[in-house]
Amino acid sequence: MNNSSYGTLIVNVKTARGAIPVEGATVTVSGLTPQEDGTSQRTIEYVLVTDSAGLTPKVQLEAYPRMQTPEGDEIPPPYKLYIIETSKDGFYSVENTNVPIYEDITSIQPVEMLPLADIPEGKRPRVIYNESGGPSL
Amino acid sequence: MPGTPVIPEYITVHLGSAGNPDAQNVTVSFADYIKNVASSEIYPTWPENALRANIYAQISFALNRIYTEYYRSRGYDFDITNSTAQDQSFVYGRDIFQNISEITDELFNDYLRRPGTVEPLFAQYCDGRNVMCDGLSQWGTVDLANQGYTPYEILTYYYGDDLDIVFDTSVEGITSSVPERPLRLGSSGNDVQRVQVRLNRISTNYPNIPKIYPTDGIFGVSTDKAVREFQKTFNLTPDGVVGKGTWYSIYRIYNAVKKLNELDSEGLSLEEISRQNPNQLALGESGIGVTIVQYFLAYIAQYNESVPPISITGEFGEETREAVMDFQRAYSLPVTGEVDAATYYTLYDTYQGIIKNVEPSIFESVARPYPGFPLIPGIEDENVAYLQEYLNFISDTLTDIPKLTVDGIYGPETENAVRIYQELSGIPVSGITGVNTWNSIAALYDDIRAADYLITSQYPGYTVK
Repeated sequence: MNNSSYGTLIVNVKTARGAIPVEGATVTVSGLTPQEDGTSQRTIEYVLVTDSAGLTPKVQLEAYPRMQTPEGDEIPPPYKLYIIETSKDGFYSVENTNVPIYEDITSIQPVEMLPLADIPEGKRPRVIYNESGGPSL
Repeated sequence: MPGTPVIPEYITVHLGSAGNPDAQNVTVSFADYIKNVASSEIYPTWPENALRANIYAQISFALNRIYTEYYRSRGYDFDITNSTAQDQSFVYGRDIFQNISEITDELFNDYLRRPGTVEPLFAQYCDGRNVMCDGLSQWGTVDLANQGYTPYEILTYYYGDDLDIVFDTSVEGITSSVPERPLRLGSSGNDVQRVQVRLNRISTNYPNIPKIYPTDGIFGVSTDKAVREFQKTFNLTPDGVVGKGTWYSIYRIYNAVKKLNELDSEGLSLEEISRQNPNQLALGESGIGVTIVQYFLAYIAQYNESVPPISITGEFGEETREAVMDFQRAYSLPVTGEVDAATYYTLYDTYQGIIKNVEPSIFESVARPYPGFPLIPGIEDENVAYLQEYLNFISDTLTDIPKLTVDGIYGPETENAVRIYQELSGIPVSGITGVNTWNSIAALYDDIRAADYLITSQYPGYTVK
């Protein structure tokens, strides 16, 4: 079913509820391939850096062919899943997992960065958002 | 609840079912909320008219929850949950889709209601395959759209013919409604000037947006360039036309930028901010300790959506208690609603972290905050000197205002200039500088300063690197 369908992704890295763009953040986009044991294998697709507007370049990612109205019970979801990791000095790292990409659709991944608290090195949690794929339709 | 519905600036979403007290709340802008719901509920690959019909239903559903105070009136500290059994899906932090984002920017202040009523329709829906219901069928909208139904026809198919769409409802925090005709190259007037001043202010935080000069209300090439760059930055179609979506996005971002600066210029003095925990603070208390805690919370809320933006009153009321609880939940502290030592230190460290880590240039000082007492004719005070300085600066743009001698004395000339300013700005004319007049003058001073900032570094007509 992989006959070269693609979707587009742009990552939008900001802080302060969109009032400040985060320039120079490193954004790693990886594919998630489900394995038989229930885990997912990661394959790095792109390593991107944000510009002065906090935006990465737009990149193409493989998606499944578009299906608007699947019939029957066993319908594969019409999207492919990715994981996006964003980091920048002075901010908590952010991981967006199970990010769905649809064919011919531009996905905008907003990443709200939280400045690090003024605490000693060590206790630096990474903020993880599980997007759990697509709608339960 | 009485009165006509307005679109709230923010909506507070409980990330769990209503009965789950451990679930976190997040406070996000209403448009961002709808973009997320639409991206979570339906497929972006559906036909456009199906997407539009669903988005109308999602907006109305959320507004109904807010308007009827469904959760608030039951004692909860949120407007809606993200449980699909109770409300609609919302996946905090998820990706949104360009087409859904653009449709939402256009529709976010339109909603459904029954003719003769004001309440937003309780627009129930379900997927129409696994779950059936009386309301709209999500999959059904796809079939109808493919048969050529318009969004309104799809909606009346499910909700009945007695259905109104209310267009362009007023939006909390945005005083100027969208111009009747979209603004574009060649347009002119006050609305163009509003856009120019706001884009210039935004561009101090977003240096990729070129400054517009002069901000003369004429939509020229530099305005066109700035609008296109703004649109590119905020996921709008970069066509250089300020229609409804771009207009409200400019205001939304401008308000965010502005709020940040206001908190900053209200800043606390070094003596006030100490790592010393003032005392255990709880509901009903008041004083400087409460003010500091509220300031920390309001400041952190600008960065962390798990903390709701609150007002700084010096009184530890219900709003403060809820914000403290949200903060404690977000930072894994015992959720007590009281500020004990651990909560205070976490507030302090989080605040200091923001100050240290965010680009210091963002925090360049702006106009001074309201001195705390009204300036009246006859007094002599350093704040009068600031007022005179600001008015002089503004008078380069608002040329009706006469130039003043900066001497700190509130004499007849100063009073006259204040009266003229009040008249021009629609503030009741008194000649006294109270909090509203001060804030208005200070804000305009900042806006013009932001615009002027360009003149030293950029020249109109040159390509900006």
